Amino acid sequence: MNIDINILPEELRPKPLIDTKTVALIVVILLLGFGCYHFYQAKSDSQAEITKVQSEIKTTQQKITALSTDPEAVQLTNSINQLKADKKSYDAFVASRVLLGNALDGVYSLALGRVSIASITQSGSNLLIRGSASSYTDVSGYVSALENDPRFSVVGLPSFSSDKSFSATVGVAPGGGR
Amino acid sequence: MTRITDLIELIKGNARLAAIIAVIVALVIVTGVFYLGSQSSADQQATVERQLASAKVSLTAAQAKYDKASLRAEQASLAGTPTFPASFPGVELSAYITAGATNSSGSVKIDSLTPQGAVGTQTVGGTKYVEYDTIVRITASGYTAMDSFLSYLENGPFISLSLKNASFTLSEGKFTGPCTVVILAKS
Repeated sequence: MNIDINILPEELRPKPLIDTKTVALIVVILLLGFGCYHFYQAKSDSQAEITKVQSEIKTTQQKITALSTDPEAVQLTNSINQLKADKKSYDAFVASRVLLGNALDGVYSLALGRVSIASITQSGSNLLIRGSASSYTDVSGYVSALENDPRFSVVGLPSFSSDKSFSATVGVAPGGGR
Repeated sequence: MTRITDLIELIKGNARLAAIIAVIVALVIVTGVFYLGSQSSADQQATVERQLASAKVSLTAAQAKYDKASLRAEQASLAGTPTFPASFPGVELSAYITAGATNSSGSVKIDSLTPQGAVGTQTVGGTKYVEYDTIVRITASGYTAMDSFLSYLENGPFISLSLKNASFTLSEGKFTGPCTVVILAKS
């Protein structure tokens, strides 16, 4: 048990230089001051970094612009794009065109000994073959031969009349073969 | 309520304490302002850093795309690409067709050759070309001669040439009929 034996009145007793509450408040002030400094410094560092990064972005964009507007690079790119377009067109053209000379050669050579061809009419990629044959067997043999040739595909059934005439339609495979 | 009143009385009676509290309040406000400012700057920094990363990716892509050595090599690799004619080679085509008949030693005769001019456009491989038609009417001594003549046309120097609307009839041992020679040109 503590007993206050100081007989001096309260107002005459020596006061401590600084009390505990004041010390605590000063500590708070110091902490807040440090916080201020820290956040100020953080903001300042960020701003400096932002300026630096923005400068880098600008430099990078200038490099990209310089690359994309280089006259020789532009000329080469345009030339390549044109050549690619030409190649694409040519490849598509070759893949889709019907080689008529080659196709007619097949139509006539396969007819030998089977049927006699009177006319051939081209319509798109189809050939309408008209002629005469001694029997339907000869016609079907001819059509089978056409069907088995990679250059052709038979469209519909061939017709054969009592006057020995026949007609058949074949599709010509584009590009020279299927 | 009593505690607040006591506190106010305490502050009124202690100027030093009042000053310290005022300083603390001011510092709290300033710290808050700086904190918010630093957060805003950090967000802005993150944004510009993302922009820089994106710009660097774009730069790398541009460096690859516009590398002159690569472009020259690619152009060289495409140098032999067949190109459709810029315009209709009418004179050359007529000469080539008649030469084919002449070289056939009489087995193919050209009865007529009628240029139709530009008849429309065709889109091939995504590019639009002008179609020029020329109707050729021939008489061939046999199917072999006719086929050879047509193959001669198709395999000649005109890479955009094709044949359409052929209609040949056998009459007195000869094949006669028209055929349309199509040339695609850029203009």
